[in-house]
Amino acid sequence: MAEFLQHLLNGLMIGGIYALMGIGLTLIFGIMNVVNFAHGEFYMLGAFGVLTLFTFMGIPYLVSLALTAVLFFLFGGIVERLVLRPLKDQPVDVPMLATIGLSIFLANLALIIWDPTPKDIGMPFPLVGIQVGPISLTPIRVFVFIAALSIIFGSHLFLRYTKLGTAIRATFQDRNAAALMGINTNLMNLLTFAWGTSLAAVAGGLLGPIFQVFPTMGAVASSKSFAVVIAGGLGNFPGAILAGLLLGVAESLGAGYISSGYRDAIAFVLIIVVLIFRPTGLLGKARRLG
Amino acid sequence: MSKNRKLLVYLVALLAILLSACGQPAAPSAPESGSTGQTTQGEPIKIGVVQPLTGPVADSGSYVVSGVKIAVDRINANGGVCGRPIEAVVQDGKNDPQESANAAELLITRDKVPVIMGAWGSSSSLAVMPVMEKHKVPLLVETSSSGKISLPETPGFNWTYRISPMSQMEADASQSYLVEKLGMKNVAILSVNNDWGRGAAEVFKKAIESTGGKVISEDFVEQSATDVLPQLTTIKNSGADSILITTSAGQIATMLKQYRELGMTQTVLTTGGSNYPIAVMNLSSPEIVEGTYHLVFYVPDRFDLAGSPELAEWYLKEYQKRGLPEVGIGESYRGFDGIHVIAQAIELADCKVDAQSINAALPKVEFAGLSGIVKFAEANGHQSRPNVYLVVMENGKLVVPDFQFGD
Repeated sequence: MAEFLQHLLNGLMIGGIYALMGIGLTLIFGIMNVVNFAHGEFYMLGAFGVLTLFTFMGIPYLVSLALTAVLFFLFGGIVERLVLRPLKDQPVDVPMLATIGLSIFLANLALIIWDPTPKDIGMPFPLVGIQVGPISLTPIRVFVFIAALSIIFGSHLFLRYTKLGTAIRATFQDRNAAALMGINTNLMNLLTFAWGTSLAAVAGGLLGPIFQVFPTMGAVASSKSFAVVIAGGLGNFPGAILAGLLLGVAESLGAGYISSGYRDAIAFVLIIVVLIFRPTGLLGKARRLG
Repeated sequence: MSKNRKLLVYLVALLAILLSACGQPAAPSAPESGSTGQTTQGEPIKIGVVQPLTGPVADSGSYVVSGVKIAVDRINANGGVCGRPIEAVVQDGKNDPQESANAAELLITRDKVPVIMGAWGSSSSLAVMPVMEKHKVPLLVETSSSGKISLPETPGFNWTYRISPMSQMEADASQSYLVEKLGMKNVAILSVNNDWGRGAAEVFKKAIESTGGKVISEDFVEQSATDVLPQLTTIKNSGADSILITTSAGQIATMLKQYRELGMTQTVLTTGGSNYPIAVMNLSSPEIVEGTYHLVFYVPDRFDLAGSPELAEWYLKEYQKRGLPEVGIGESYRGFDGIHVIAQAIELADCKVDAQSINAALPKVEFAGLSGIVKFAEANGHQSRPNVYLVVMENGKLVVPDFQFGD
């Protein structure tokens, strides 16, 4: 039982990050109809951002994380303006190819700047921590989980209860009608992409201290995010959260009890099962956002 | 001028024949070596190198390449090979079997290299071997541990020579103290999921079981896996007293970090030769690696353990002089030894820089390097048996316990 609980907890903590990655990706797809293959690279760059600010420059971890969020919000905005805006009216595969190009470019840029050697961010909190009965928890994991859930919940509140959030949802539902109502849909695109980028970067910054940071770390994160988004339903916000947590737990239990070699296959089995039984995603009945 | 060079070539060829000590009939080689000397004089001899320069183990590959560079500079500073400078042509194999095979193909067809050193991981080397057989070009394997590489039925075996120990040799060397001195009675095996990790798990299981220990679980994780908490959680609750880890330094660091997160106390032993403890420590912290055991083939500051103490001393100084990262030295030595072995083979081939001659000369090489003496005395003359040492991390320092050297 203790072992099961530990697996469950491990899974939920990783699942929180998957959910965070997933909502960023699903937002971008939902609003902009862009399949963003550079999402994993934003995650990687976010981790490098925290490495640079926290480890190399000695800025406190939480401040580094906040700075990373802001910097990548700006970065996402610039990318949208320079790369995606000019391709706005092209068929869906054109911006998709652009993001593939962007992901290769960013991964190699990181390779040049930081070299391929994996880097250790270092622990912002004491390493050995809380022992709750038979279960081990470390402060960093608890922090990561709480931070991920808070950001997800905050994003939800923002979409639901602010004027800007309403405008974004309106753009999601009907881009032309929203434009007719005086919403600047270009600005909505820019904000959404910047926001999604920032979420991915923060996810990288959160997981960075637990794992290592290296230029190719984005590839796995990217495939997991896609699994989450597809299983949750494309553009489905709550679906992404549910799928993220589910994937984390499934992987943890699968690796613990079935076979660790097939751990990464579990994500794809999940996609296949969901696509067979619920082709529009776990919560994919109607397209909604927020 | 031309006469002098010709004379030099003859002299070196003569020296090579003397060194190889009544190896092959010398008569037919003389005119041939003369003609190759004339056409390619002064032009560098190209040696192909396939290493991962990108991907999850790119750091290891770049360390090996730094050893290659030191070897090339040292050899060229001492007059080159057969009077000609050597040049390493490095190609990225990403430690991916397909990419490594492509890289080897490219080196052979585009750069016309007569010999290749590579390809780091076992799965990659195994994928390169058939390419070598197809083109009839020899391969010197510098890092891989899988036993399969030295099996005569493996495609490309006749063209492959290995200076790194197979996992079996690590198991042989450590068998006497695994259970008895380290107390590894109930062992959980945690390996990377490829030919290397699976091969190591197999031979160490045998070694442990034949000395009275027991293997209670075997887990295999992907090379890119970063979260091993599930596996460690299971191991923690399984009653294992020790964990045997076979994977790269980066992944070992991740595993040890999570091992500490779970507050585990099991004895840790890592194997495989890409586990240089200083590298593991730099990727985590001294507290995380404290008290962990590692099997290594080269201890940089223990000159007495090397095949050639003078060379080992020179190498450490040179490595530091170049300002190369300390984490890299534990893997760089392979590139250094490997290039020297190839250079010696070319000289033993009467300076004939063609794949066939180098392949014939490689089994005759005997080189006192950084990890013992390279001599292809095993697996029908295709495998060398380097040194294997147990080291333990104490206060951020690498310590070589004495009990391993027996009574």
